[in-house]
Amino acid sequence: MALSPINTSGAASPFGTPTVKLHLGRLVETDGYFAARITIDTGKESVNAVELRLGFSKNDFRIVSIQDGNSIINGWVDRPTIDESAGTVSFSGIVPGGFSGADGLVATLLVEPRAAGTMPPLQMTGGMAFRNDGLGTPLAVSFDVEPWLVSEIPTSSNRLLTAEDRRPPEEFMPEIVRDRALFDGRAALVFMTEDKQTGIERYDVLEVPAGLRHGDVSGWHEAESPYLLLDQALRSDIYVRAVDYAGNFRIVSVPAPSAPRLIFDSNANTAVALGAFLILLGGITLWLIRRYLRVRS
Amino acid sequence: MIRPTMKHQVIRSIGIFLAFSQGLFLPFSVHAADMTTGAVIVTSIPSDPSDLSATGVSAAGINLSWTDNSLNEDGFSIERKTGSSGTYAEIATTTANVASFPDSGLSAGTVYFYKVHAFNGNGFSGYSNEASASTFAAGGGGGGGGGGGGGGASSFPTGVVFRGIAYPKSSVTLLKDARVAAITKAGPDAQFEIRVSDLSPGTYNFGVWAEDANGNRSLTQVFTITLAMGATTMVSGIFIAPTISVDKIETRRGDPLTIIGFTAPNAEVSVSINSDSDILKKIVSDVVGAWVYKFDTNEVDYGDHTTHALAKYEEDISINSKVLAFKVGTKNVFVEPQKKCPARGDFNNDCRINLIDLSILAYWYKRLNPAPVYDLNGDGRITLIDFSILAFNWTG
Repeated sequence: MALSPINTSGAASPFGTPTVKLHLGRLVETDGYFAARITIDTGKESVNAVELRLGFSKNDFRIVSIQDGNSIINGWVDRPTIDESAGTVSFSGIVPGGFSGADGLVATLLVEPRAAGTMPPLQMTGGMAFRNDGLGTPLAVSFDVEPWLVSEIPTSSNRLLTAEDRRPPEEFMPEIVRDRALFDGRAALVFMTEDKQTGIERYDVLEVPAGLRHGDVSGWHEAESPYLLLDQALRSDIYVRAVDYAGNFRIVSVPAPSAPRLIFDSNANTAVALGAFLILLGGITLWLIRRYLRVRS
Repeated sequence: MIRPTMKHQVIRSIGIFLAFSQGLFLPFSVHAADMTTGAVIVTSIPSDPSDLSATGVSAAGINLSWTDNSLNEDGFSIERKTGSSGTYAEIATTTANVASFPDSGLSAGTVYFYKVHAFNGNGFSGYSNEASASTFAAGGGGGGGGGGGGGGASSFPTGVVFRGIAYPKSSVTLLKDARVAAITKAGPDAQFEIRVSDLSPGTYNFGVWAEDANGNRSLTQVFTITLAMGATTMVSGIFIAPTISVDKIETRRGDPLTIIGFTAPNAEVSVSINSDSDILKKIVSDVVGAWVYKFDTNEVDYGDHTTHALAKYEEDISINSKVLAFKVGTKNVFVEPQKKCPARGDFNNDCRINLIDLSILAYWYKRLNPAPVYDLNGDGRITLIDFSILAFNWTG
């Protein structure tokens, strides 16, 4: 029997037609998890910014994560967020240059039903889409959801939807920015990448002070772009780790722009070279003093 | 409309062609923004062969071998030239999955150069590296060992090629997921080609835009494409929208409004004046792609109007240009000399609108009392509308 999508909320915007359709697909079981795709149908429009807020019944299922692998969204304004206690998910993002199409993947929900049966549909509590016209013209948004049916709760304890994702996130190059528009002109780091399978779960940043190496410090901490650098003297090497939902990661580094690298590098060979240099310097100084005293006498 | 053929089927849908290679399913899809008229062809050509090497084996023979990086080739075309100053010509083709060729009947003691490319029903791949070898001297032994320069990955690379028409000698930028992936220069005939390889399979937003001789930028044409592993997807038939600018913000009724821009050389340009009733004028661009139209403002009433253009070049029709507003009134107000940097959103004044500007806007997002410069629509706060305006002006 074919099941029709449920329109849980009609046009959410008073701006009239044309309407951008956001669609939440059916639950598809994979390796013990259930996944549902949120897609966008822009009709004949080109859309470059989308926001969606959904409410769900937290008694019937848990939304484990919102993954952005293969999403048409290239820049999140508000990263996908789950508020378990409030029973909401929300996100907003942009597509530079615009998207026009009927089945653009926006995000994938990973869902853990609490019991078998028909899940109550998610409700759109807010939705916006803007035309790619340079004016930010709002478009009406509708939302429908296919019925979520769960015949049996998987017993697998090894739930790994992400098992097939063995590729790290895409290459990227963070940039150090010092602009009065950002953090009052203090040095900041900007970065962004994608993962073509499960999506980016988080970014971590590590600043390695001069004289130390990547493995010498354990100060990774989760960060978002733009990131205010701790070392404003820019004498630290900076590492950014992009981690996908399967745990694959890519680490890229930005060498310290103003580190006097030869002197402060703790590499053993460099230390030997530094020692030899200091001994030589001391010897020359001693020789100059003795020569001075000899001339004077 | 579905038109099956022996090799592949081509599906035309809303001005977009999708092709599926038989035997290897290539689940790509493409959506192009603002694609009201342009027809874009998406096909899958073979990946470039690599690691070509040449070895002299006798006074009349050289053996070639290369790495087959493609899953969907029909065969390989082998080209040869004599000496470094010779001209390449095809000497043989092979069937699919062949990665060696014995060249024979050559002159003794002569250096030959070779390159190879794969082909299928959709076209040719790029060339392999060039390799050279010498045949043995007459009556002698030994012989010229060859070798190839360069080389590629031994696995099957995933890539994409964009081909189309911009403006003569214009700079054409390819964005991959909002970041600059490559920049190339169109030829005097406005044709361009950009290749990106060694990509992960998956869905990408590719954007193509061009800059004309006056520093005006086209709209960005976006293609959302899912790349299949081990295949090179070709997007051809792109026709970048014309650039457009006007000389006056307000024109005294009766005076001409000059509308100018760039497109392909000798293209038919349709200039639309959008008023109470739309007016369509046709002109032809010159050999460098420049076009000029002097609009008689007596044809419209006093008030606000807009204009845009599209171009037709041979059988290709571009998408619409940007839409410009102008006013017909009682005085002439000329457009200020064009700023070199792009429109709203270039917060750090580097003439680009990219991740840095997005980060700056994100920093001010939801903050109280943002400076007016970041409030792109002037409503007193930073909202998703401001991000939409930034996304429209994005250059990467």
